[in-house]
Amino acid sequence: MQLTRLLALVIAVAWSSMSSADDSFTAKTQVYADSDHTTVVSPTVAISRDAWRGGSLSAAYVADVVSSASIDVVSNATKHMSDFRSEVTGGVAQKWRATTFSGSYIYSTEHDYSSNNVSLGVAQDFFQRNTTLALGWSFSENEVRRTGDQEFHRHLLVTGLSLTWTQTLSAKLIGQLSYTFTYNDGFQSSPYRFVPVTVDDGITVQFKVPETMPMQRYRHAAVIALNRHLFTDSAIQGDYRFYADNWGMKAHTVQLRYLVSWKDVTLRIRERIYYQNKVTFYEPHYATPQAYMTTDREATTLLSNLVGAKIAWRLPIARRSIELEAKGDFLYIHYYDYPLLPHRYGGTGELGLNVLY
Amino acid sequence: MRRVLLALVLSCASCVVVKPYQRELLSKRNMIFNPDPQEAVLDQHMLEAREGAVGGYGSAGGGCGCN
Repeated sequence: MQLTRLLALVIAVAWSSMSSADDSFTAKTQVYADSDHTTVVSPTVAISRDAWRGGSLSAAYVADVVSSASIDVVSNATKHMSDFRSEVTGGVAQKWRATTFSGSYIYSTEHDYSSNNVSLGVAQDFFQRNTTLALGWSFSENEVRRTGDQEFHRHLLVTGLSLTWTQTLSAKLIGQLSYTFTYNDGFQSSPYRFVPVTVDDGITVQFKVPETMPMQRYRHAAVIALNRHLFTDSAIQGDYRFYADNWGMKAHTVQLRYLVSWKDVTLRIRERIYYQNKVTFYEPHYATPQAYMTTDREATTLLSNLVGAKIAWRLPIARRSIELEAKGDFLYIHYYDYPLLPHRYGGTGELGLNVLY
Repeated sequence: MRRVLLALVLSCASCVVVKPYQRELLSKRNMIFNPDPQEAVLDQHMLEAREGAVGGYGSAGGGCGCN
């Protein structure tokens, strides 16, 4: 019922924005499929409108239609799982002189999980808009349930803080530094995952116990990014992220994007490399029960590589600008310490429409 | 120490001033760090469901990210 009302709000704002100036409407559908028998279809629509002097409203809806018979699903005695997730976002922003205030609310629901997320932000320009400092805060309340078990209810609270410094470095170069701190407090295990305790051969299962993760997780992420204009209308963007948390995980991410526009067509190619080490309590085989136990492959040592291209074609029609876009990404993941699945190949395809009024 | 750091940041920032009439290239769409927020949300949600690290690139939406 709550979701229906929020959807009605999205449609109402979209309808009312149709005749306004400087507004936008976006519709995309993304399809993900991988070698681990998982498919996710994600349609999304988003709108934004300049609602009053200095103020704008935005709304978005995203759905995830998931079908999976992955090794993680199958190894927990389930042949197949399917799910439908809906997410509604509403946002408001107000510009006042060199300051921009923003706020948003996200409601997400699926059959065994729901979350409410509130975020607030303020950004301040300095030195003739050559420097921008932005501060953000977010809070998320999550409820975890388990299909077929009416008694199972767990909670997870997530609080986040972010600080971003964007700096013009020359007439062709912009830099950005950002830091994000996230504190998770509550249930972070999978309600469906059971961890086998094996005898000395590491294969013969004695018994299984529910996955147990620590209740608190302190997560730090720092990003440095550069965006450099090149010849004619092209740019190269690069960033590096360092991540660390109190579960012993450290991760490194490097991204490189090249964008080039020619007349009404923009092409983007990108490469992203990611590496993480496992959390301290992850073991491929447990010989005895431990305080914390997991077989989550996202908690293991892994390397992933994403390569992709996107093309957008802008069609100026009357006073509106309509843009069609298509995207394809290839994702490869290598698990160093997950015996059930050493490699995973996946791909993402997306078609989209952007309308600027 | 904090004051020294703040002074360093401000002095560094204030020494680079690009005038408004010099911003032609900076104002181009290809120079925006996050030109497509909807795509970024979809990307981050997909990646955070498959990796252990989060944060640094903005919100990835809600949900358990289990798929």
